[in-house]
Amino acid sequence: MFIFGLIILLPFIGIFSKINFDLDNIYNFFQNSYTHRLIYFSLYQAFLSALLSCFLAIPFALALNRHKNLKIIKFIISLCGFCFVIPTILIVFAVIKLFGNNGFYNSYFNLYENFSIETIFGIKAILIAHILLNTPFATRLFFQSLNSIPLKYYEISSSLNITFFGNLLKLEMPYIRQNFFTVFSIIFSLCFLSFAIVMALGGGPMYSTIEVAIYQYALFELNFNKAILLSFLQIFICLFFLFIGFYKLKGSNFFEIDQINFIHPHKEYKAIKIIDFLTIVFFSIFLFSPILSVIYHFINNGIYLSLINEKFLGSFFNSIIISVTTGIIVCLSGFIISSILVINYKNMIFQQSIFLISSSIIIISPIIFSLGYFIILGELRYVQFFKYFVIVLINCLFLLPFSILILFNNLKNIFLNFENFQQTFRISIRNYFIILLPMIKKNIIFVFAFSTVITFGDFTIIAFFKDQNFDTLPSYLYKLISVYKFNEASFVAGVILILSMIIFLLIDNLNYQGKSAIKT
Amino acid sequence: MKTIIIFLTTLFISFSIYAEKLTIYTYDSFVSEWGPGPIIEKIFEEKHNADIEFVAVESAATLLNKVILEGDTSKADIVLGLDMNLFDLAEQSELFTTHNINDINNLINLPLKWESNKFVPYNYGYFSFVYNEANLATPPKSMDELINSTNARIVIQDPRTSTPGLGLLTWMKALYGDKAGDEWKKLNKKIISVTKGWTDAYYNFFMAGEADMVLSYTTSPAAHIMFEERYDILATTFEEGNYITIEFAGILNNSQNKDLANKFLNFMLSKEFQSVIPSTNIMYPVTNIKDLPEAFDKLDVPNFIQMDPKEINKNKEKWIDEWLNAS
Repeated sequence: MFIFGLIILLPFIGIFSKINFDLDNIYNFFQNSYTHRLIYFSLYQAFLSALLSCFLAIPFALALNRHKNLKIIKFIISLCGFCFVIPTILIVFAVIKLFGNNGFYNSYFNLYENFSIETIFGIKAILIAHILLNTPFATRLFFQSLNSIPLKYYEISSSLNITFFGNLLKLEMPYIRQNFFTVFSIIFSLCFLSFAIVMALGGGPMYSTIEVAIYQYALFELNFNKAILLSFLQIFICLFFLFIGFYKLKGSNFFEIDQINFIHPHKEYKAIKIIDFLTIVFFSIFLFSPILSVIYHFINNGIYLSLINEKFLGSFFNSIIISVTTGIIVCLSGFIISSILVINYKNMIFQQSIFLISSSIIIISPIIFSLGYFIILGELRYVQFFKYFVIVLINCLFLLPFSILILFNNLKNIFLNFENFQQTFRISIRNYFIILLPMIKKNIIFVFAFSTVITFGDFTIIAFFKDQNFDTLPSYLYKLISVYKFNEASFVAGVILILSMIIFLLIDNLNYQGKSAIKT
Repeated sequence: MKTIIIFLTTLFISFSIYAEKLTIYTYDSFVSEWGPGPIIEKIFEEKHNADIEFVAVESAATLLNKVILEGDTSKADIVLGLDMNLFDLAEQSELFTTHNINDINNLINLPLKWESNKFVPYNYGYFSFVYNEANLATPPKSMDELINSTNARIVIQDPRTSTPGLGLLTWMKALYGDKAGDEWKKLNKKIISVTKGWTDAYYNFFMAGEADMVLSYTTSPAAHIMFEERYDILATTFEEGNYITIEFAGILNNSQNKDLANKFLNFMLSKEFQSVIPSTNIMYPVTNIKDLPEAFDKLDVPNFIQMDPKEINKNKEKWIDEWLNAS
């Protein structure tokens, strides 16, 4: 408990040690029109991204819902979930390759001339990237809402001969509306804290967000004071979100979709069939174009074995070491903390306070933790060992609340179910946990896979600690993109995609497997 | 006895072939395959039985940040690639030690007098907006014209991370003083992207056709003439004058190889080093070499503008804020 508190407090000690409490400076900083612009643009782009993503997701989710018996739909829904773990840097790569001046759309459809676009960089590129990243996510969540409509309702509407639009407005839309605000809020928060996309596609200070500005003040100007002031501002804004319930649903139940076998009353209408077919094809091609583009470029010019050079291998091993270590530590500490919570389940205050501390981390962005550790480490940050240590530590901190969420609930149920046996047979707590362990093995593997894949794709934390001799695959990819080495970039992007997809499919299948709730 | 002799001989040989290592921090284009790095590395290593290790950062303005952040743990012996806009900050940082070159002004030939016993200049040039004749028929003749009447998509570099970017910031300040903020507002309407470094702006935007003009150097067209025989890439020289950039190197206080480092600074002023500069770093050499590449004859030499380095260091943060506010 003490160590846990210390780990969270340490970066703040670092941050406070560097802050210069000059009221004039602080006042000037908040009077500065650039600061206002940063706040405005951060909120503005997040609002637009969330709104567009949600509105695009609705027709797609409705069409998918009408035909959810088809196997291909299950696959599309599964792919929609992939966006939750896809490294954002891959989206950056894909947006440049698809929408850039030399990209696919401009080469084949003369996009720039037809719409008199001067450059894609800026708000356009940011919005496109956020839509590509979040629309599948919203689709999956809306689909989940539609999926939860009881079969009976459809049977009733069918027997009442309610029209297609009646059905849509009276039955389906209310279910979407129920979750609309939550989905909107999650996407809004994700875009508000978006880093790699704004950094690479923003095209300069005109289109910068608070998250990126913190990084730039700290590393470009060595102006820790401004970085820290912005950090507090960001925490404040996130607290406000928390207050109005923005983080309510973050991540929970996302991977649990139970397929119900049913026949939609209107799916056989010819016009609807055609429209649905077109909608599904159009959205699938558009939304999965980043994945297709990465694979296409990987196959076409990425597979150069000569590119497996020292730099690539170094980054590759760094990524593997960091992500696997993080995965293991998150599982272990998540299991230990959940066990402590379960054993003390009668002590509500203790339990709630641990929950609160661990989940409060979510409102602080990784960039602030990285900044704090960056300052407190001082010159030690150039020692390889500390680099690994801190990167793993910060990643763990952000994944821990999630692992507790998953493990605690399951562990509690099992623990309570079998508590009588424990007492009857006088099994010691230690032995009891050894017996329980295999029962939540599946959850632990799930937490491991999830933590590993998120850490594997991280670009924010590594941004502070990378240098010319120390990269992970995402930061190496960013470096290659920024010097326009697209052949090499195609290869690295392909490797990242393949590895994260393998881990993701493992996660998704773990959730489908052996679930009594699945009705086929 | 025989074993001892063999042992001593091996020891002697290994000592004699042991090369002292010199670590130099510099910017990426200096050590790229077409830059001066590989050539001068070879010459110096052969001449002094040394082993040079270049460590490149993405852009020159972050070079100084890097050594400041690293402090005592820095591996660098020499930092190469700082320019006049960072001169005072570097001078004040107390990270650098004095060099052993006497009467440096007699050895070099710069448009202005060199006043530092810590740093040694190795090339210079003038910032400029470079354009393609085919895309821009009427290039601006002055900064005023560029800001007010030229119709072009411009790409510049971030003054916080790049030397040309910082150069433009001081250039604007030198020309417009207190009104620089307003002029930035007008200029920003034409700027389509602000990149982190020069390479990104020049190759990814300008040469890829995404921009009509790029902030670079008056010498940039020489590269296209020399390597591609292209004569359509030209640089603007402004009536008000172009901002001068002098690049220099210095030895770090922490260096364990100060002798060798001093040899390198001396080597920088030798003909071998200086004659490599125009054709690889595409800048003017600081000494009088006779065989300047022909392409350089085609270049206009502008009047130079230069601000007091102390003034720059004192106000840099304020000016950057002004620029950010105008964006």
